[in-house]
Amino acid sequence: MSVPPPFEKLIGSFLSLVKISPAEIRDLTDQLEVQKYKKTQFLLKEGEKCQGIFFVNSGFCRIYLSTQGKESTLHFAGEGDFLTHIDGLLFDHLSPYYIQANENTEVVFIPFRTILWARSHMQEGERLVRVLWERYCLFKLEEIFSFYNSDPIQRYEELNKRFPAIGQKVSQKIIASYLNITPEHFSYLKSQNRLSK
Amino acid sequence: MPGFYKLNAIISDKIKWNQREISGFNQQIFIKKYRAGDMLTEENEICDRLFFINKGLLCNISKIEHPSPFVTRFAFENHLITDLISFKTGQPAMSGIQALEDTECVVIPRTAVEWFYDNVEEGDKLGRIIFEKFYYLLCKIARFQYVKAPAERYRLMTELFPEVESRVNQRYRSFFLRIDPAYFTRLNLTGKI
Repeated sequence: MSVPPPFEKLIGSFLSLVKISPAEIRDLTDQLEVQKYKKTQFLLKEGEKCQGIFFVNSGFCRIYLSTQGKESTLHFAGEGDFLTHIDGLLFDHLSPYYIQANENTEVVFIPFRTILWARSHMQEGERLVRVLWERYCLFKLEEIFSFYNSDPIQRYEELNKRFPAIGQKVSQKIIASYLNITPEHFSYLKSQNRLSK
Repeated sequence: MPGFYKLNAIISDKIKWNQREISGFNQQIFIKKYRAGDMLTEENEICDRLFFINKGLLCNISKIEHPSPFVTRFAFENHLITDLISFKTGQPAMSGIQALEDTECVVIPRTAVEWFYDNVEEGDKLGRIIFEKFYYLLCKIARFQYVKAPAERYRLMTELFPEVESRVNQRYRSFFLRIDPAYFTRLNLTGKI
């Protein structure tokens, strides 16, 4: 069956996890929404309640906390990645962080009611959601271990491997906030050629 | 089987499963006892088991290639614990699992988890519920990395693991907070938060 072009990547991603019938794909895509954000626009702001899951079709985003004016970047997301604030979906918590487009970005928005619908109406919907949450847990664990296990240089190498040319996508200040070092320290490491280009 | 009673009851509280499913699952799991200090699984080895704690206390701990060990999580009675990345991907574990008290566990091999998803009608539902709760815990743990003040870190730790003060020794609490044990003693945070 043909899937509307903006949803092809998302459905392809779901099909790699579970079986979905053509009728389910049709009913599912009817509930999805394509959203476009310009560079620096916010998909979600601190204090807002997240209403669903964003799947990045194209572009580049970051999730960050802002504490007393200091930004800490938690992670980045590129094409094919999912973004959300799960606590908001599951526990009604307001978002403590911002999700911002760092390039012009197109996402597929999956409303939380669609997740609930999938669980009860799709043959393997419960499995799909379980696998999605499982992936989120792995992602979060990797983030925790990366933070504890690696020094800033190692973290930068890992980041560069995952997002080649990240230096062209976001500012040095943002990368420094991900590495949890000052922009000055980041510049120093670069000037010493201790970071890959 | 008496040793599986708590685990079976907790699962029954979350999903509907019939006697055939319960028996099929129970045939694949077993009870094991550990002494305080024992390593249940080792860092850098593949972790292919999940542990449900009947009684006792476990933690995920990383000791290799660090100036000092660090603990990423404590787990108490009725909690599940594993090295999830290794369990799911088959990669060497980034943490070992250590008993901090004499502990009795139900050991659930990876094959039993896979069987559960494939053969228990509401198996995925239980998995989904577990991962929702686990993700919530991980988000709380992840927030620690952005909190610098030791007193605030200590407060968050006791909020996350209310029994930590009474059951975990100071050294392991310092490993979780990533504060040098000697400095932790000087801060004397116990009971002050």
